[in-house]
Amino acid sequence: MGYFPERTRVRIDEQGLVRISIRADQTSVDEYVFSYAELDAVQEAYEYSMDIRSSNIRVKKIPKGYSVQIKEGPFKRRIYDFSTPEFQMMMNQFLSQRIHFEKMGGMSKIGVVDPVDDLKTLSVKLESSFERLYEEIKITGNKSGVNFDLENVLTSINDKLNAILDATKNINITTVQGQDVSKNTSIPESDDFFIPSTFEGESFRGKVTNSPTTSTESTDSASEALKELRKSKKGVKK
Amino acid sequence: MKLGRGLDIGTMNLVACKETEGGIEYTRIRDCFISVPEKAKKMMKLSDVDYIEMNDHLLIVGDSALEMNIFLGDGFPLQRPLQDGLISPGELDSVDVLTFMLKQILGEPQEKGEYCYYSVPANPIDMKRDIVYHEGVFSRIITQLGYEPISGNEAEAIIFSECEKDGFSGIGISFGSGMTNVCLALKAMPCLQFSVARGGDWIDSGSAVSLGRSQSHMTEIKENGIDLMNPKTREEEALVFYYKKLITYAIDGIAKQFIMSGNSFGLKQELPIIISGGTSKAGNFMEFFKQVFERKKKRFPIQVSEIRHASDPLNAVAKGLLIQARQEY
Repeated sequence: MGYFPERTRVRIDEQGLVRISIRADQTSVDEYVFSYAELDAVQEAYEYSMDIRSSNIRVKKIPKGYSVQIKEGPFKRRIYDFSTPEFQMMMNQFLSQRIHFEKMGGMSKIGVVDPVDDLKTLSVKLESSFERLYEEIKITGNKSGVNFDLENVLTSINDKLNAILDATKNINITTVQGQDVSKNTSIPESDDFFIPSTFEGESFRGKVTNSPTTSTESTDSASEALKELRKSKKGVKK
Repeated sequence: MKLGRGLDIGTMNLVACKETEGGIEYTRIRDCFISVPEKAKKMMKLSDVDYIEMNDHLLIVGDSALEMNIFLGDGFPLQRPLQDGLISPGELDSVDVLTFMLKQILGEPQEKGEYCYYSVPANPIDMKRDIVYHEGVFSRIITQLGYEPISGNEAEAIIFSECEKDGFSGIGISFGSGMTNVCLALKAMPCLQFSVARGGDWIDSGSAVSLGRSQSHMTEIKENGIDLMNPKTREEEALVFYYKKLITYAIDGIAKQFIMSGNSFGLKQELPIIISGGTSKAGNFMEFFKQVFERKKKRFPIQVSEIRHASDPLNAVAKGLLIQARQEY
């Protein structure tokens, strides 16, 4: 018996991160964390029967279902094959979580992205670029075949990163708490609002010409059928 | 005449109905008005336009307001008391006009406290507003007019008017002007009700923005008649694009809400989908809806037996509410 009956379990946490658990075998699960936008893009691609490839996840339609590649490290990916119902279940789990998440305020509640996260994103992008470069070198089989001076490029990037880090040393990063936009724009319940006991419109002077239309149908049959249905329901309850 | 009234309160139309010896009598009025200066009174009389006299200005209400708005131009904007299907706090002047319009179409009750079922939308899933204030305002207006008000869900009313042969089970979708309302009912019991803040107005504004035209221009093109299966101009193509978006949004909404409910009501049977509302009056709307649905069918979590149009899309809600009102006697 596994940890849970379905192959996957999807949860969106308070930070807007999507946590996916995939049953590996009967006694273990693999857990992965993705950004909300990344899984949202996967769901949209699935909706339109398209393959998708992002930095951390690749989804491809195969004859027996879906092949999902998840990045585990700079040079390591794990491949899972899902049957169509299994993948559909995972997407439905995400959809269900997404609705709850959006009801709670969605990304607007998470607030401003921390600048440190931006640097992390940059480093992920650089890492991905170097990975591709490494693959290219492996394919050509010869480092000298690559048509530019790699050492100089690396030195240049290193200098730029050092400059960024130096510039941010004296900056105090204040964490801005995300405001729940939805709460600010929502209208409180009617108990909070005054409704006058009378409206003036009844005493307005004027007229509007209306020509009623009459259809020959009747509500007798539907009314009777509805009464019978309700009676029979009461009978069953007794 | 039989006791009981049905009243459909929509963003575009107000429809009241009652049952007479000759059948069901519907009275409709456009839910809009424009304000003009008092000096225009003579012109209004000459044009034979109905108006209301206020202290220092005149109000043209209903269908005449729409006609005069085209004639008078942008200097006299068309005012609509309801936005996105709901009345807002702070719109008390508009509520006074609504009271006048409702009095015109409901008339006097046959007996004091005659039951009047009036339509309310379900809480929207994509807009942070509730219907409590809206429901409270109309309850008070109808009470003031001498009736006993009871609110009824708009899309559920479609099930009562159109699903007698299905045992009052089905999915009712009302494509209105300000909102789209959905109700899934089993044996007259509502299991799933929600609304989305998109409707005919959303189609007009979306297509207007995408083409750099005015919203009223797009409304005019739409109301002059458009064939959704055969758009002829760029404007019509834009309108068709937004019709498709709206239908897709509604179908996805049903699927999501059903999945979220976890089918707690144990639905096993096939259900018909019944389409109603003014927005569904566009040419070939049903064929277009079926075409969009066909693409979504594979992943739609509910088995659908058929998709059909309400017998009278503009009056189906009012009729359903009348059937409910008649249950009180």
